[in-house]
Amino acid sequence: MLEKRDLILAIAVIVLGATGTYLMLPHRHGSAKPRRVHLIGAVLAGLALLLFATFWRAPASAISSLFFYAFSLAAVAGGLLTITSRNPIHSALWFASVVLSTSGLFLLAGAQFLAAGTVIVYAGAIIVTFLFVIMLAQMEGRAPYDRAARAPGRATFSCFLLFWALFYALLIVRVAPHPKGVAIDTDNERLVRSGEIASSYGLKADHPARLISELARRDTLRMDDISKRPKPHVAGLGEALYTEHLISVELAGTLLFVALIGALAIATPKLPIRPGDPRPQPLTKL
Amino acid sequence: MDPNVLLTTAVKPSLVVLLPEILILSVAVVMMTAGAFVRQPRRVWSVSAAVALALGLLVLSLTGKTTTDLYTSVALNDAFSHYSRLVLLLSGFILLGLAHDQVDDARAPEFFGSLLMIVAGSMLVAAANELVFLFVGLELVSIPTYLLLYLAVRNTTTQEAATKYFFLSIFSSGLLLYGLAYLYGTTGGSNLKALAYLAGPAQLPNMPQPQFGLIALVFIMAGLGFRVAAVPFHFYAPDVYEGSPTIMAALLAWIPKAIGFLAITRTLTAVISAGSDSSLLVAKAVVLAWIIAAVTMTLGNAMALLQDNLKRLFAYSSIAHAGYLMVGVAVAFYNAPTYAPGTTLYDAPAAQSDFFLGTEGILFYLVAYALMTLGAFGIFIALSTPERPVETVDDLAGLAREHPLTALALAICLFSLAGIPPLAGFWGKFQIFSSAFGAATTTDAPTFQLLAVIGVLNSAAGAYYYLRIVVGMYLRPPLSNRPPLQPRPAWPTRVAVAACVLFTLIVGFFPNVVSAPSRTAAESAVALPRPLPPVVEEASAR
Repeated sequence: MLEKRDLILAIAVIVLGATGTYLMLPHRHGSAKPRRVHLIGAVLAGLALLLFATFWRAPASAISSLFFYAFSLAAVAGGLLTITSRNPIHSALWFASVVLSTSGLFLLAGAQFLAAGTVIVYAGAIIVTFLFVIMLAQMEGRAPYDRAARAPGRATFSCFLLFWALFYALLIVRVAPHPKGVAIDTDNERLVRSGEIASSYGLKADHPARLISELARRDTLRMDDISKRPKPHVAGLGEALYTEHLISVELAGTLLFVALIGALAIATPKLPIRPGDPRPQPLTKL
Repeated sequence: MDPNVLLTTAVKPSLVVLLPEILILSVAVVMMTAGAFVRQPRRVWSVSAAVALALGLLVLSLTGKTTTDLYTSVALNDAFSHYSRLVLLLSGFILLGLAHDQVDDARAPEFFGSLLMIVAGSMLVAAANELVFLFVGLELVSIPTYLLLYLAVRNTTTQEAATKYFFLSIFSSGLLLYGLAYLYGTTGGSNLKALAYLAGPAQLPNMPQPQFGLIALVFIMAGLGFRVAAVPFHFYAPDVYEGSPTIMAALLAWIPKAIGFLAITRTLTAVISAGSDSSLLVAKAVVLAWIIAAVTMTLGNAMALLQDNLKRLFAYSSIAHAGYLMVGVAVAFYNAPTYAPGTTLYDAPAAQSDFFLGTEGILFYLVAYALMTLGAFGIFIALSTPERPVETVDDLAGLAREHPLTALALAICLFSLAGIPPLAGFWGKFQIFSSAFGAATTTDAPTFQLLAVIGVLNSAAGAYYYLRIVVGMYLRPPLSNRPPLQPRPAWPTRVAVAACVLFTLIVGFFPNVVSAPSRTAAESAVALPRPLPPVVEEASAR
C-alpha cells in the first residue's frame, strides 16, 4: 500500500496543480486575467510539476536520466501551456513541443520507430494542418470563442479528478527490477512485464501458460534472422506488421480509403457531378 | 516463431474465415471508386449492395466449418463469431431494404458503399480475437457512419447531429484505445484468448495486474458505453436520433449497440471473468456494470415517458434497452463457467445448464432487439412521405382505421419492445433477468436479485410509453388538422418490415430457434482449450 509520505505528496501535486491550472486558464468570457494571477498560477503549477517529478523513476545512466527529466518536464509543461494559452496558434505550437518531447521519451524507451512516426505524423502533418486551418479560418484573427475557456472550474476539477484516479492507481504498481530469482509476489503491487511471464513465475517448458505467452507475445526486439543474429528493431516491427498483423494493416487501408471518400463527400456542399450529368448552367449575371 | 510458419498457421486460416467480410468490403470499395466515374441510377447501386450481402451470406455458410488456432490468429470462427456474424449480416439485408430509397441518385454509390462497410466492420468486430483488429473493426463501423450521417440529408439540423456524433465518437474511441493499451499492458500480448487464458485457467497470481486491469476495465467500459448509449455516455443519442433521417436513427439504434456489446463480451467479460469469481477485478467489474445497468435502465425509461417525438422516444427506449443488456454484462462477469479448483485447464465449460448465462441472454436479447427496433423504425420509414412525415406520437393517431395491417405490425413490434409474452422481446428480457436470478441462487449475491427486480420494474414502467402509442393508434381518431397518411412504401421496405415482424412472432413462439445457438455461442465465447505446442515444420519448409 501507499506510504503516508507518498500520499501527502500526491495530494499536494493534485491540489497545487489544479489550483495553478485554474489560475492560468483564460477567463470565462475571453478577457485577459491580471498578470499577477497568471504568475501565481504558473508558480503553483511549476511547484506541482516538480513534486510530481519526485515520483518518476529515471533510467539508470546519468545522461539518459538527464534527457528523461528534460523530456518529461517539457512534455507536461507543454501540455499545460497548450490548454492555457489564449492564442490558438501558440496552443498548436505548444502541442508540437509536447509531441516532440513525447517522441524523445519513446526514443529513450527504445522505440525508435514509434518516435520517428510520432514526429512525422503529428509534428509534421497534423500540427501543420492545425496551423493552416487556424490561419485560414480566422484571417482577421482573435475570435472570442478561441480566447475563452468554457467552464474552466468544472473542466479543471474533472480532469484532475481523473488524473488523481490514474495517479493513485499506478502509484503502487512497481516493476520488479530483477525478475530472475525473485520469488513470486502475491501482493498486487507488482507488474510482471511481458517478457518475464515464464521466468517470473518459474513455469516449466511444457506449462500451458508458458506456451500461450510465447505463442501470443511476439517480442520484435528479440527476433533473430536466419543466421541467429538479432534483427534491427524496425525490421522486426515490419515483420510483425506484415505477418501476424497483416489483416489489420490491410483493413486500416480500407479505413483510410473510406475516410478519404468521406472527406471528399463532406467537404463539398454541392452534389457531385458525374460524367454524363447535364452541365451546370453558367452564371449569367456576373 | 518463424514468420513463414506464422503465415501458414495463423494468417491463412484467418483470411479464409474473413472471406465474407473481405468480399463485402471489396464490393464496397469498388462501388465507391466506380461511383466517381460512372453514372447509374440508385437501383443499380442498391442491387449490387444486395448481391454483395448475398454473396457474403453464401461464403459465410460455406466457411462455417473452418477453424483457426485460438491463441495465435486474429480472427475466430467459433460459435460466438459465426452466430453474431450471421445475425449482423441478416440485419444488413433489413437495413438495406429500409435504406434503398432514402438517398438521391447522386450520392447513392457512397451511401450504399458505406452501408456495406458498416455491415462488414460489425462482422469483423464479432470475429475479432485481437485488440488491434478489434479496434480497426470498430472504426470500420464508425467512419462510414459519419459519412452516412452527412450524406443522407443535408441541412443544419442533420449537420449538427452529425458533428455531435462525430466528435463524441472520436472521443470515445480515444478512451477505448487508452483502455485497450492497459489491457495489452497486463500481459504484453494482444491476443484476447491468450489474455483470457493467462488471466484465468493459468492461475498465475497477480495476473492480470489488478491496477492495470482496473484502469483497462473502466476505460474500455467508457469507450464502449458510448457506442451502446449507456449512462453516462447516453446524452448524444436523443439529439442525434432526432436530427438525423429515420434510416440513420434505425442504423444507430442497432449496429453500434450490437458491436458494443459484442466487443464488451470479447474484451471484458470473456477475459476478466475467466479468473476465479472471488478476484478483486471481477468484483469491481460486477459493481461497475451493476451501477451502469441500474442507472441506464431507470434514466432511459423515465425520460422516454416524457417524450412526444417518436425519434426521441426511441432514443431513450434504446438507452433503456442498453440498460437491460448491461444487466446481462454484469451477470456475464460473474457466472462464467468455472473450472475445478486445482486444475489449470478446461476444455469445455463446466455444466451449468440449470440457468442462463449472462452472455447467452445478451446474444438472445440482441436478436430480439434488432427485430423489434428495426421493425418499428421500418414502419415509420414506410409511413412517412415528404408531404406528411411521421414524427410525433400524435401523427400515428387513428392509424388502425386507415391502415389496419400496418398498425398491427407496429403494435407487434411495440408489444415486443415492452416485453409482453409471447413475443421475442419478452424472451430476451426473461433470459437476462432469469440469468441474474440464477447467478444469485448459486452464491450469496443478493445484489443480482435486486438488479433483476429493478429491471422488471423498469420494463413495467417502459411498457407505458410503448402502449401509449398502441392506444393512440387504435382508440384515438386521426388528427383532423393534418392530411391523411398516404404511405407508398416500395417492396423492399415492405419485405424488410414484414421480415422483422414475422421473425418477432416466430422467435416469440419458438424461442429455441435463437436460444439454442446463443447458448452454444455463449459457451464458445469463454471456452479455453488446452494450447497445442507450436508446430515445428523445419523439415517441410522448402
